Amino acid sequence: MGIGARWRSRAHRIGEQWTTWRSQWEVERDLEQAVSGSGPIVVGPWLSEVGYEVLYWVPFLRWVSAAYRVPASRFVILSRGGTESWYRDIGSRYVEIFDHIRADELVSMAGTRDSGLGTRDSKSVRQAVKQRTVSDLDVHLVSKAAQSLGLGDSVNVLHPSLMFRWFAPFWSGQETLGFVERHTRHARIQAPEIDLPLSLPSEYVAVKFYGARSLPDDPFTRTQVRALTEALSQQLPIVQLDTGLSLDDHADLRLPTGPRVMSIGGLVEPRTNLAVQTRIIAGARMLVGTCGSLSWLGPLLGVPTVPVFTDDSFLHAHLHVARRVYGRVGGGRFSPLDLTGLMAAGLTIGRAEAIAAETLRG
Amino acid sequence: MKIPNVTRAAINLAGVRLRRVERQWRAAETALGRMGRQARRQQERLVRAPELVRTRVQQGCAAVERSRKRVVRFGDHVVSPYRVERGVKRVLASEAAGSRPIIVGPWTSEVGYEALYWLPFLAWAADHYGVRPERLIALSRGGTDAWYAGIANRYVEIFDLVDPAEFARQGAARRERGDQKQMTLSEFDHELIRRATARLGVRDAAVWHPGLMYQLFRAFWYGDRSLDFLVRHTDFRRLRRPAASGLSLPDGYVAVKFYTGPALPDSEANRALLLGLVRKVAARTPVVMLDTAWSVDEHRDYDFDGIPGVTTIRPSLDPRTNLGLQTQVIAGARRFIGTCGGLAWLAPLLGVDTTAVYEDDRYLTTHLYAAKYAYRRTDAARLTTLNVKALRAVERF
Repeated sequence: MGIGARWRSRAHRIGEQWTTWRSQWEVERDLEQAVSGSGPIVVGPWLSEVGYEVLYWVPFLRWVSAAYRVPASRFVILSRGGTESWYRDIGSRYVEIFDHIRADELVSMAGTRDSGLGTRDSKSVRQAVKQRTVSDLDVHLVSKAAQSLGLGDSVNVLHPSLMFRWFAPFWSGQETLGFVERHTRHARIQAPEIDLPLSLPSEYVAVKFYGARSLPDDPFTRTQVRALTEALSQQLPIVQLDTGLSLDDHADLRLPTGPRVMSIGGLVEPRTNLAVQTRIIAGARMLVGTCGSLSWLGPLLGVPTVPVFTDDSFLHAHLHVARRVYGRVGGGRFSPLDLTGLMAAGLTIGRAEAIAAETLRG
Repeated sequence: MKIPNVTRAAINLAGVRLRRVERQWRAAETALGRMGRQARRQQERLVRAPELVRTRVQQGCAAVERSRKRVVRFGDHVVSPYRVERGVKRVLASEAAGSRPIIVGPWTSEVGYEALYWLPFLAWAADHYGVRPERLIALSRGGTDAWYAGIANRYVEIFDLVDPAEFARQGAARRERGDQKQMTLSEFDHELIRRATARLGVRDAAVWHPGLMYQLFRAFWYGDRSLDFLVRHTDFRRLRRPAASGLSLPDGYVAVKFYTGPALPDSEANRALLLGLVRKVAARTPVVMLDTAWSVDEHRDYDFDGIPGVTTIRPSLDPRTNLGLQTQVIAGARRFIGTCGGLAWLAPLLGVDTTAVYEDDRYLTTHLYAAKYAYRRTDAARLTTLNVKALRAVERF
């Protein structure tokens, strides 16, 4: 590389760094504005994926609370699915989004967020689930929450877009892990006190599998998941966390129920579905499921967790964070399982080969 | 009835007066109300004043604290790594200046760091500073000359300069000094360089010591440098396929190498699990074990003798060629399965699909992050992982 090219490359890098810093300063300025004054701050509305909420948003809020000395009394958490317990040490008030909008309305409105397409193709939904900007739906929900608590119209809002804007460079590899660690405070989460819609065995394994980029819903995955669940059910009863609620673009991989495989399908309602699942996971001996979503929560509830994937190309950064923080907070063991690695090594779980043969036959 | 003008005038006048009084009364009432409200607000402010002052003071203190931390952070996480980077680049540039041959090495630390970081770093540095392969002399051990093909035209074998026992002794001494990673140029390194240049008849050679790479990337391993930084200072590329091993090996074999270490500690459970794994693989396809009979570092190979379908190349290995021969065997394999670390980082760069096995990922997380990302960007073969802790958990817990 010639000297000219080296200087050009250096100038380009400095330019990139400057852009990153400037955008970080902008976020910091917006953040300072959001927490200024002494009035209540509506935190949310959180409509994105559960995984980002657990792994980044809640720890980020914990950091904001500590760094800006914002008392819990000022934070009004606005989330969905009964996730109040996740924020117990952060905000003293919680507003349930599903008290103000129906699940089907939310899904259809979220599907058209920012895409402008008005359709719910999976790509647009995937783009939509990252709240990188404040949408009309967000404004509407904040206003409803403020009204319900009598907070008036001029309430401060700490929107998830701040977090998404701040950490996006890390997810794309341009920012350091240290940056994320310095702006988050991971901590154990307590399970909610909520009545469960089914009676659970004294010991069980919680299982949640759904189709995602990390674990596509294809015959190979289904065979492996079925074999895995069968192998687990020989040890302990299984409680499947397949809610049957289509609240995002991830469809549950439903496994056949039986005497040792229970399901919460049809037993939960949108406004409490995550609270119920949290409670079930907290009481489980182990959580096994698709790498993403609630599998990031399991260790924070102190439950040994086996997140399963076949493609980790979109998981590198998240796995990196998870591996670093769970041990530090005394969380449950986090043991990712790469099914392709297993197969490549010529191993199978339980009856996977027999199940594959049965599938082929019939 | 007709009202006299004087009376009418008196009534009108009274009406005007009354309306004026009424207006004045209302104005006074409004003014009093306003004053009352102002007084109440003032009172509220006075009542809340201590709380407001406390909040403002707290916010002020928090802002000062944040600014202080920001300055410290900027120093620790931006300025310091930048200074290290400038220092490393200054040395690289000054050593590259002129036309002297450059010794790259001596590499005396772990195989994994050599494969995953040192080779891509050298490829980047050679390109970045315009140093052609003719000027570079690789100084490493175990017959790894094929790894440096395209980077350095000359290779000096460390085991031609010192015997393996002395090498192992010096490595242990370095680790005891707390320098696991060759951060600095040690007396032993100096001696190796002196002997290498004498052997080649080179009078004056510059040195790119592995410490430069370790210093540059340490900030990445500690989380103070981004993945992008690593990618910008490395050039991951497929390694040239080495010549065939010349050993008589079965067709379509799987190369296997399991050694003990923090990633896969030597325990009864792990030995049993790995034994079962090797048996299962060997039942389907021939297995060639890359176990050695000696060790020059703290890692020991697992022993899988006596399993049908398993061949070992142990008798063919000697210290000065062992890594080269293992590389040839891996390059000819249909798959490589081994402990996550060491040769498992190399195999994908040889175009061989690899399953890296571990039980504890505490010390692997950054390397997995780097390798998975970097290999995906090059035409390396697939690197998958097998977490035996997860496997054990789902099969019996």
